[in-house]
Amino acid sequence: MGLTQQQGALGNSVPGILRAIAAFAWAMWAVAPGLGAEKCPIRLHEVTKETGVSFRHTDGSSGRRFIVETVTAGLAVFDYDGDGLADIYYVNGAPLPGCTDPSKPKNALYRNEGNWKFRDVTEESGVGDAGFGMGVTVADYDNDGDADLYVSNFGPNVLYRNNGDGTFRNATSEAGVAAGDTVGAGVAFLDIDKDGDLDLYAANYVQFTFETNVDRTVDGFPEYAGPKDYPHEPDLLFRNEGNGKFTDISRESGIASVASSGMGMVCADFDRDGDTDIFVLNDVAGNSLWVNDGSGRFQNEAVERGFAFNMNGHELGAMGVDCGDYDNDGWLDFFMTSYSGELPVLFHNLGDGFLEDATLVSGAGAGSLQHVNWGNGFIDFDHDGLSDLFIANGHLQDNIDQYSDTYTYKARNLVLRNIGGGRFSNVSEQAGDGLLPKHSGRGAVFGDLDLDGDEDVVILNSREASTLLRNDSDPRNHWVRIELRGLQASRDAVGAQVTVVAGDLSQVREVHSGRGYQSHWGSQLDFGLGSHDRIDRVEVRWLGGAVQTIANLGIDRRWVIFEGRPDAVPLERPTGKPQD
Amino acid sequence: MTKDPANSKRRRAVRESDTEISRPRLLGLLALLAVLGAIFPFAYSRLNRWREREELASRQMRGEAPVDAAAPAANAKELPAAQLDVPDTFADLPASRAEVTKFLKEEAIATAKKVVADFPTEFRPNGLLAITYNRFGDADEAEQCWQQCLTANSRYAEAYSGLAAIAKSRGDNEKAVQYYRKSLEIDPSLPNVRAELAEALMSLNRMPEAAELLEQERRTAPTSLEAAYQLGQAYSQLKEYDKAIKGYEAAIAIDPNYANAYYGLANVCRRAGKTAQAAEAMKKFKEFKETDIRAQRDQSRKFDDEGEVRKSAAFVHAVAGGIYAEAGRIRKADSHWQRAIAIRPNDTAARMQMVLFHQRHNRIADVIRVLEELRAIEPNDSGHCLNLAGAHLQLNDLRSAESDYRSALAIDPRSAVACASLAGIFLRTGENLAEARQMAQKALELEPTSQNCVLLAAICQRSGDLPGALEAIARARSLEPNNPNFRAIESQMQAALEKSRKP
Repeated sequence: MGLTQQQGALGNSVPGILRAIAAFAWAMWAVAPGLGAEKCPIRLHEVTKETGVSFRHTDGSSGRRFIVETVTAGLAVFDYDGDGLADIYYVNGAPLPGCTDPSKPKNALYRNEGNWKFRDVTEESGVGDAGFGMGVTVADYDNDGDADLYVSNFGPNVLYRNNGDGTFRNATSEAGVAAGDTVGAGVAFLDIDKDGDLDLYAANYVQFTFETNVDRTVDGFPEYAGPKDYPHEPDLLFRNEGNGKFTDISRESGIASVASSGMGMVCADFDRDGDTDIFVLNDVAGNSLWVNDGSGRFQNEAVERGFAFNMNGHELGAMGVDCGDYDNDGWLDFFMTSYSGELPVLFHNLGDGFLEDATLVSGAGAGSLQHVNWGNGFIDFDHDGLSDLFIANGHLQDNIDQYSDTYTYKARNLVLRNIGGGRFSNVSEQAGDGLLPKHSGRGAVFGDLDLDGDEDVVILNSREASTLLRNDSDPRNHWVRIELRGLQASRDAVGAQVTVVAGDLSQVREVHSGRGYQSHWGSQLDFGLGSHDRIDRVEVRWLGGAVQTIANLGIDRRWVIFEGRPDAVPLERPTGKPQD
Repeated sequence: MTKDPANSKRRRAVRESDTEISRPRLLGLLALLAVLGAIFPFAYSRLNRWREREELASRQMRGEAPVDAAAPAANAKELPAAQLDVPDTFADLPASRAEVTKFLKEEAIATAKKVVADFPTEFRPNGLLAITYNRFGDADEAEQCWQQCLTANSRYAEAYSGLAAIAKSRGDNEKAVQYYRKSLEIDPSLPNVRAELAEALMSLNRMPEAAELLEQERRTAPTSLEAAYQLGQAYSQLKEYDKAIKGYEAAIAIDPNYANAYYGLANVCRRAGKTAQAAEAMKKFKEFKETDIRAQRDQSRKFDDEGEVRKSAAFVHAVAGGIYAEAGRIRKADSHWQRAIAIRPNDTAARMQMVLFHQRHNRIADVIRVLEELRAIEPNDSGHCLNLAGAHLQLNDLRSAESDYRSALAIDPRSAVACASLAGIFLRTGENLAEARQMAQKALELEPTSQNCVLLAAICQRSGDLPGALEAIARARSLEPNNPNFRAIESQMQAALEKSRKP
């Protein structure tokens, strides 16, 4: 058992003394001269080398600069074998015409063996798709108790159905979700009609073929063309028929009415009307906000609701989007990353069905202007009860350094600490060595990889090995992690909202499948409690409107809440063995 | 029109430093001044200063340094003796399209460097080099050049603006604010600097400061679209929705097609509970935005990298020529202008420099010849018509001037200068006084300045409408309460009015 696992396990049983010792040790270290004199409680430490993760991303490039090379790829953190440890699934590109790379890249699954050791189980699990990968999402779409995978590609998408024994089978054809031969993008499972079956949304980027590739130069330097150079493509929506098959309902649901340039996406009940709405970023085309009428029919109201553009009415080079309540007002807000020379956008939910750009007043754009921003997440790294922001950076023009000294291809990632009052502070310089390396990041995902209660980070870097960051933040604060199990709702409870109330601190989270930059994480909801040493109330709003309240949940532990059951069940300490 | 061409994200990096040439209205203004000066000598000196300010603004917009007051002024009649200076010669452009951009980029930088070498003690050539480096993505070098400018002349306001812009592009808004403030401290009349400063302040969430600054800018530059729009933005962030609405409405009054102002207006109206107005503004926004997006998509597809580099290289030659011309090295100047035209046959920057040069030397026929070329190149630019009118006025060719102004108005019906100038011509000839009054009123409506009030007053007086004249002068006084001339004129008119009422 590794140190962190020990911490997690001991933390569950005798939290008081050991937590106090850990906190004291951290405090001593944090203020020791020359070590960490800055008082930033967030610390991310790079542990990539010791993990055994050897995945290396390829974009299949050969110098011909096909647009698809720039936007690959996302990744996922999820527990594929039910052993209680979060595993990592990487999406990979594939050789494109002209590429002479002899390696045969494919997607890769790494099993978490505990103690920050991972093992490549791609072959034995059967999820090594060799298509040109773009995005991924995870959910138990067949409600059989295990996590399934859906991968979007430049080319047909792939659905991997979990066999429950650590292996998957390709169920794309039988499910009917190959989604044609398009340039895929963000994907998400959601229950559009609250029938307990998870439906599937597949965003598409642009209409691209090798024959229609656009060559561009800037000041004579070759450059990747942009999404405005290609015709746009409508997204797709599939209804889960409950028998392992899906039906394309893009047209009848309203989704097919807009052709755009989809990127990252997230689904959320932003207006708390009891159904799930769909937020899709479109690259330099104005975002889509598909408002659900409750029956699975949608209307794009992004412009009116304030999600399409930034405060200036500009459409941005939108990349990834996450959802969280940064100001703890009970309404889910959205953070969207964008292109260099633009600020990302923090969309503050006004609670009346409208969003407003709060980037400037919140400081959420700090440090981002010079970078193309991709993966992102609202993560409470230091468990102070306020969601911080993580942003993965890196340009998509691989030769940008040759013609601009303002922008760089490789860049450091950013952490913006939520300092309360709706404000963020850029603490990247003080948040540990994990923020020092420069890469060209794409997807970023978060999960408690070492079971110490806090969220660690995994970043997929374009054309490089990935980065794993261990969260070594100040452990003094309390926390609780909650998983939901639906009965009437889908088994993963995708779309359910959980509110945790501890004294004057009230926080809301929603279960998502697919978020950030074409990625997935967050099956387990993480709540930082700050110094609050008891939870007064946990309220679950299951999709469909049923509300369940649980009182007196223990802190610094993991819990499972079953739909309709009056008490929560503590999540057993992981055995490290796959579930039966 | 959009404030920020951020929409073509792949082009963003180069667009930021793009060197657009704006059309000076110098000659058009000169014409108006000549007319007004003849009638209101008291106003002439003031308007002359206004003209200087306009010239300064136009130079700054072209990325040029202001004319150094200490520099030897070119004689209006004679060409400087140094005109036999050996002209520069330039290598042939490579035949290969792929090599042209690299070649021209290097030539542009080399040209700017040569100007720096030729004028080692002057600060303006380093400004040109800074702009050139920045255009080609070398902000570090650009920054050093601006610093060099300041070493040579610590009161060079544009250098601070240039440094501020670089800091801003790097996301260092604190530094940008400091530089912009310094720039304004030296030269409060610099155009757009307040708006840029306000934007940097807003990025730092210093909204009240930004709003205060923009209010000032609105008072000094009531037709500034940027100031009006940003004021709306600042108040919107401050949740002072009524003031925000006023800002956006002012922006829309200046440019009724400004999509983003409708977006801001729709949002603040909704928050202020004005749902009908919000819906109307949102409808307008969608309408204009769709057009904008289509246009930008089109523009993106038509993007011509070589053309953009040619434009920039030609610009460098145009400005280099201007610097040599000012130093009296005419042949050298001309060789740069001709090089600009060789690089980009339809180049306007070099031709504008030539116009200024001929104008300075009172070679009005040449001014007209080059302006006609400009008009042929850019038939939809009303500025060329205004300038032509000015040149014709200098030749006392009132008919041609009138025709030019009418052409300018056909292109841009909201040109206050054209309206005022036409009114001025009629005033001078004593013809069409009814139209003169109409035009003067329109000018005043478009640009409520004391100068336009004075013009209207003169026309009223000429038409025998003394009460109207008095009313116009009173308005001029309200706009410029400290101007003693207006008070004097008003008294004179009052006396005349009283006298006329006596039996």
